[in-house]
Amino acid sequence: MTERIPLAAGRRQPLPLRLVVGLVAAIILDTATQVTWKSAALSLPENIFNNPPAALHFIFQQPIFLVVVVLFAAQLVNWLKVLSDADLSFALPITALSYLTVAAVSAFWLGEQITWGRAAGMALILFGVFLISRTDHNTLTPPGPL
Amino acid sequence: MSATSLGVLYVVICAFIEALAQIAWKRSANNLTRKKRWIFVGALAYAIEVPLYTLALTIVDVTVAFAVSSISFVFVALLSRVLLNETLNFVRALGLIFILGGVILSGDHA
Repeated sequence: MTERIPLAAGRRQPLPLRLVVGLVAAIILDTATQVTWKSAALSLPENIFNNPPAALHFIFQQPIFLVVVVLFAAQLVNWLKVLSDADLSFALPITALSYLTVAAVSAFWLGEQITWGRAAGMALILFGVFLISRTDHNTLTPPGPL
Repeated sequence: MSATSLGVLYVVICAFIEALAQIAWKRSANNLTRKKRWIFVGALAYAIEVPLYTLALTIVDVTVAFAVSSISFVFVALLSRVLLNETLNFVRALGLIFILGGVILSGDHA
């Protein structure tokens, strides 16, 4: 574990470029995963889930689901890299912006509606994530090596 | 129950499974002896979650599904309190209430 050096009051640490790139990538990958996944779901034949085993078999043969899996894996790898550069409480509220990008891209690409109710719902969620990010990141003192 | 509320319910179940997976990952990180077992539990949770979320996406808009899936934050907090003895302070609880409100509002506009 790296030692954190306390900063003088009022001074902010400059954001390393690597972290900025990682956070932007996290939002892009989140958005791409969700929108691709939705497109993949739309491409399935109707009522395919009436026969779950057949549905699973069918899904895992679709190339677009492979894209979803690759995006999902890329997202995980990138996220672990971001977390090695930044606190979870710093990174999480920033990537919560992907609620907005998912809504915007699906509105543009899939013709989904951003109604006032949906926008208000997302605003509440963003505020909730922001509040959680203001709390201490480690409230549990580990009992020592097990 | 209408088709869209069923879709929203599937997303909520996914979020609960996701929370179980997160607990399993955290257990694997905390636990030095039974790491593999907890990683397996986390992976198994994902194997159930992926087809279920796909099913949900055939019914509801991804704008709503993604927003509703943030209820996993609430499940994670509650499960961490019960299973990992993590604390739930006032501000964190308030944040969770806002998220829950946002989820209900989004789900209601599915």
